[in-house]
Amino acid sequence: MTTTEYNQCVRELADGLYRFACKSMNDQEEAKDVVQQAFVTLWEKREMVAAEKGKSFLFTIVYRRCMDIHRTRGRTRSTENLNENVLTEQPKPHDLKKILQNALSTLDTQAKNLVLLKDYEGYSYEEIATLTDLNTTQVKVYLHRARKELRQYLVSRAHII
Amino acid sequence: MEINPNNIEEQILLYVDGELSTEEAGNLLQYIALHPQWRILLEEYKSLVLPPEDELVFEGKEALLQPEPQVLPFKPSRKPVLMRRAAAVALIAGAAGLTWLFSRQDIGSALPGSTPVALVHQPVAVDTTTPGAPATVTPTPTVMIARSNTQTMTTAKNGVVQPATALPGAQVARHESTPVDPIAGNLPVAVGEAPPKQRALEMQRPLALTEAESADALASKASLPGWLPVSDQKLEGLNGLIAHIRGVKDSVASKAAQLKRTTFVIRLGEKEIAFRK
Repeated sequence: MTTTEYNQCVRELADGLYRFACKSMNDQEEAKDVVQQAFVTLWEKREMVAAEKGKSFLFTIVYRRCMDIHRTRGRTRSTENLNENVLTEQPKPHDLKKILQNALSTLDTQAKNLVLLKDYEGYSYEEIATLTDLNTTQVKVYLHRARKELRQYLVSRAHII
Repeated sequence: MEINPNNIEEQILLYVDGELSTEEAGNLLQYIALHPQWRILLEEYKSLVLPPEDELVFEGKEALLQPEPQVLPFKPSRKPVLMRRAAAVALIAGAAGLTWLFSRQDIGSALPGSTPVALVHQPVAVDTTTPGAPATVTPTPTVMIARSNTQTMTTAKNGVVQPATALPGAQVARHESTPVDPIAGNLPVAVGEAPPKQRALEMQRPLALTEAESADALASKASLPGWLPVSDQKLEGLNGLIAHIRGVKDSVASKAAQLKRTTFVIRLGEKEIAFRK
């Protein structure tokens, strides 16, 4: 990867990586650090990374870093605790986006990351499997389970409202 | 895959995630069209897809950029044009110099060891039937230019130029090349050369002919094809040319002598190899 290609990765991927890290960790400063660290790693290893592999390389680093942070800080919260937090925020019924973000935060870290990679970045099951060191079947199962949990959350929320 | 109530939720999730082929998606939508009770489930899952979060932008992007190597745009300047013109002028000058040099070499080819440029051929009738008797010489002034590098040409009786390889002893009138200047003494000798006595007679013979001889010669040679009369003035010009050639010869000889005294040194790094005669 040349310097020009690296800079192109910065311009095209920095926002997506930051968005993914923010949603994954719910911490913008921490997300910024993770993204910067990912680009520093890419720059140091640019001789070994082809230009077309830049995106998957960066998302793999950010995904793993997010998982590490969740593990070390014990921030993988249970769904029950998150449901309580989400319910106290009381978003308006018509604010579907806010409701969805709250529902997303009820998922465990891995399921949330899979949903983010699928919906925000549009990766296929196979690509997500490559990024996350899972197999395609696992990705499919975890994603479907996450979707069902999100739907369950929305149904229960509608019932409450 | 056949769609049924047991797998339709999975098919809907695959459809929402964009993992179904066009045909599979068509089959699913067709099934839902036939069974509308599943349409609500499809709409719910479609609504769960996260909308893009465009407002989240990474602020420190510029700090991550690395300085790129500068690429100067190609701007054809006038300099190459000037250089091309200078090169063209140099080429033309070089060609002119080579032409001049070759023309000088033509003159220099009259040096020893090369073919004579200008010779005055004077056909000499030699009576070879009576050995020992003095040869009867009938000088006829004729000038021709020989440019062959391999052979000394002689003028045949009929005026046609032939190689001087005539068989010795043949009962024909023989022609011989006779130099008009002592420098020709260094020239190669034609095959079938006349005896020394004849050469001595020819050397003593004056170049200028009497009027009667000239008139006879002109009358006899005028009918020959390709024959051109040569006047004394042209012979004087030829002598001037020979004088020039002699100068060139002396110059080359002096340079050769200078080269013999010259020491050549070849430098290989710090070592020097000297070549001395």
